[in-house]
Amino acid sequence: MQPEQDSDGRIRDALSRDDPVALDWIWEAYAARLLAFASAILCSHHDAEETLQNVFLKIARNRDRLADAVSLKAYLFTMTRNEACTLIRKRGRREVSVDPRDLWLVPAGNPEPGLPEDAEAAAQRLATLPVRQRDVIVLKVFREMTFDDIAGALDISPNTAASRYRYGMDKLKRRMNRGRP
Amino acid sequence: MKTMPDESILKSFRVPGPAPELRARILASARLEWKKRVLPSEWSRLRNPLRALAASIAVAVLGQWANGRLAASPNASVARVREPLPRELTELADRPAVFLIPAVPAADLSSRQAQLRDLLEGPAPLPDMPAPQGQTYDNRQTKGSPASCC
Repeated sequence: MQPEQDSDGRIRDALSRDDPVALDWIWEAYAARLLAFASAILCSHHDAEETLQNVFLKIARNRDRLADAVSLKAYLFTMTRNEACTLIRKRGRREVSVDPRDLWLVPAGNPEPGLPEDAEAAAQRLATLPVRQRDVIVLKVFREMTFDDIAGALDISPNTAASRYRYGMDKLKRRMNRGRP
Repeated sequence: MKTMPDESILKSFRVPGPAPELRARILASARLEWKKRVLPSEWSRLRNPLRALAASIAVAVLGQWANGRLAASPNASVARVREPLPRELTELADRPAVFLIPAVPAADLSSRQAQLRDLLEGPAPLPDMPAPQGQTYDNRQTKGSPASCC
């Protein structure tokens, strides 16, 4: 938690000086998590990148508001969610669907033996979860955030984060097992 | 205490992080957005403040607005830079401030550039106004002019 407070302090200092280096610090501290969060909402790596770009443009444009935010983390995650929802509305998408040419889930470097699931199938199954469960799973599993971290980012209680994760993972496991031969 | 589900079913995958080129692209466009001052259509209204600033602040007219590399929105937002940023834009992002003109059709760009040049360097002389001794009006672009990047 301390490193996060340190980096937030550095970001706030830069914002108070109106120094654009704040963008670099925000990127270092948050870009990977915001991109994963946007990917979880949109189920598209390409759209998540576009969302991240829009978020950074908004940060630059509304930096005064960011400087006044009680929690930088919660503010940035809320911005990302709003931008992702805007993109969904703009595209006229009601349900997320996974495009195999635009996978937001890819094989890790050393896939474990005995796991027949391929990335497309796993991405498809994750996409069938409610977004509130999917985003908690993605932040926990792929960005290794704690439930406290996730709770702070999404403005929910740690218990809510944990139960969304548990329900989501249970569903996912059942669906994965059902899909196996 | 409830046990947490096994994550191993997902551990053979990863969500890709931001690529270095994405970082360069997004941060450069966000820096431009940070520093940009949009010139409204009422050019003359801004003449004096701009002249005061012109000595110390880099000014740019983005030719790229006309050739479609930037999807320009009506409020001159530096949005949706899809391709790697052109070198000129990357350099602009490092300047202390950037003035962008609202998106204009390609055909209007040269007249807008002329307007901006007038704005920064003074209006073009009237045809019957004699040039000062030893100076030609063709040479109005003095060295160090902030509009030199236009």
